[in-house]
Amino acid sequence: MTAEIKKKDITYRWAINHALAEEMRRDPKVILYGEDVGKHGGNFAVSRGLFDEFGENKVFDTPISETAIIGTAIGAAMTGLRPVVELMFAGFIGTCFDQVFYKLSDWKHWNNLKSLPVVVRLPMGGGAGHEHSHCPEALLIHSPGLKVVCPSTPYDAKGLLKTAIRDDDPVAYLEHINLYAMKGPVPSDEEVLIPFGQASVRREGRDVTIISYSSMIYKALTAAEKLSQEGIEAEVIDLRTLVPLDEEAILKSVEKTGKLVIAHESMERGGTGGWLASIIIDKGFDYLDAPIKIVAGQNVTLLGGPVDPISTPQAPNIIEAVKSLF
Amino acid sequence: MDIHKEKLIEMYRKLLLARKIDDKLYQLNSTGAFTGWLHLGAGQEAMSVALGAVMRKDDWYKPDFRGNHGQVGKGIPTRLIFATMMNKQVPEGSETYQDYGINTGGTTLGETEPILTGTALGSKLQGLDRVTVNVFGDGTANKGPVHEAMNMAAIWKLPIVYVCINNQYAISMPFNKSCACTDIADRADGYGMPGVVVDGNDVIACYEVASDAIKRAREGGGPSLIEAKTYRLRGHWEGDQEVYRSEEEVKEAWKKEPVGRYRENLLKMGIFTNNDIEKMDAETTAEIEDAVAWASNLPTLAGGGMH
Repeated sequence: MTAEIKKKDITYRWAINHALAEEMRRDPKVILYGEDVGKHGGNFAVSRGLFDEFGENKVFDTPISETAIIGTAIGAAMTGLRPVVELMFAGFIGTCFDQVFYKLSDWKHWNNLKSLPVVVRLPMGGGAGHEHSHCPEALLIHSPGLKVVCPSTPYDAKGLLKTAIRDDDPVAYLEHINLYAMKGPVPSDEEVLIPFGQASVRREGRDVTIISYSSMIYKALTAAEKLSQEGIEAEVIDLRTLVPLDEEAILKSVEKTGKLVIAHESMERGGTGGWLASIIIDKGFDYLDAPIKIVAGQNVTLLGGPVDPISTPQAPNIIEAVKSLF
Repeated sequence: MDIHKEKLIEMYRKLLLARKIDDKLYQLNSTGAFTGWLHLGAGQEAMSVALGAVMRKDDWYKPDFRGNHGQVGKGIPTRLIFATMMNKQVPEGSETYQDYGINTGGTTLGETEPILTGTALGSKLQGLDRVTVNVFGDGTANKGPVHEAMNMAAIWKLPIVYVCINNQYAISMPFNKSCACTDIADRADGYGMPGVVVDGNDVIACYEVASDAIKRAREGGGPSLIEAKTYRLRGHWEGDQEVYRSEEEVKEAWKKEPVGRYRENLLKMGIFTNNDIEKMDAETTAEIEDAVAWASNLPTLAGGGMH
């Protein structure tokens, strides 16, 4: 019998902060750096208090140099440190794409390294407009050596970040800006880690499977409640990590429901949805009794402000996609 | 600066070995002994050999991607160099480039400078006395990541030496067209680190600036930038038609190449006799023939590469 884990309601932001603090206390090799993450506590206050607790050799600011932030983290990891670095916005990945896409991804394999423990924290979404609100996970999953993590709850944010920091491979950790203020139960036990590659069934249902991740999960759950009122019971699966991917959980659910809708905020073309659909077509074609529907961001330039909800899919879009299958 | 006689001789041996490895690879390339693009380094060996004579084996190092003078300078065995160039699987337990602080990954120019700056950051944060030496060319000097890396190294006083081996050409583009300034080393001023220009064909001058810079880095004095002016005597890669420069220009440059120049110096200084030179010539040739024969008998790895 396992002891009951004590939980306390905290925000997604503090869950990330606690994961960082706990891992830095546990392992002196863990360092945190990026733009304004030091005394200022981070653009989104995620690292508030860490500079005061751990000092300037463990938590420090960098100049505006995203390329060198990623690159130095790779080099520092080679010397035995376990750097966690922050890009202020995930959209800034465009300014350091070579570092993330080639170097961070491939460096361990190229150089026959035993480990390359780098975590890149990427605050995504948030409606701040072009270059600031992008959700770049499709670019990241295209990179062979990266693990890609997209927590949707405070519990997952903490448990997955702790796993990421202890992982010996580079990890892209995508934290959603819209979720920072969300509260939820988070275990205070320092050893509560969430393994990568384990999806979570957020709502059980028999009629249709909706797979999603990050903040889009909440729109999927809203859609599922509304559909329930009309007699359609949707199963909502939160992937939690895209790489590694819990294929088994998706296939099991699709086998049960026979219908699949994939929902994500990032743009549709060349996106995660198409990749996930291709896996289900390959391995679960016989389970399907309707086409797979993808509900995703439109292929448009993000402008920010009031137009973002138009380019970003909402619960009614998911409802519409589900209904089209019946 | 007093340089020990043995060190002077060792630097000559390495210069000669690097040049002859170049020649051998040129010859092997035409026989199809390996696949991939071959970038030879004749003419620009002096700075690498000097750095190798100053660095410790465990210092992090990114050598010049052109030729093997960086590897020879750092002391990598000739057998391992040929096995690597010929895409061969070395026997288990063999030394690797990493035992010499060299990571061979990374072929997009300017993008490995931040990584090398990171090993320097790791040394600084952990109080290690391993320095990092980061070599790049005049073409790479114009890449943005190099700027980001040097600035970071300067503000944090990292134990790193940046070395620009300016061979006057980025593939076909001459330095005076890619750069409006005369010296890359001047950029050091803008970062708040020392910068120095050295004759990159004069191995003793290179040794002196390398000693200063590596000592400074190891003793906590922070980063610096060395620019070694030299000349790429061969094409960008084997097969380059070199339509962008004249034969006269190349012919003139051969007159200033570092191996012969250093040999003359050693003879004048009385360090060497003609007999010594002949002996070393035979020894290095034998070393290369042994390495080629050894590597040829190893199993071939899949795929080709960039050399």
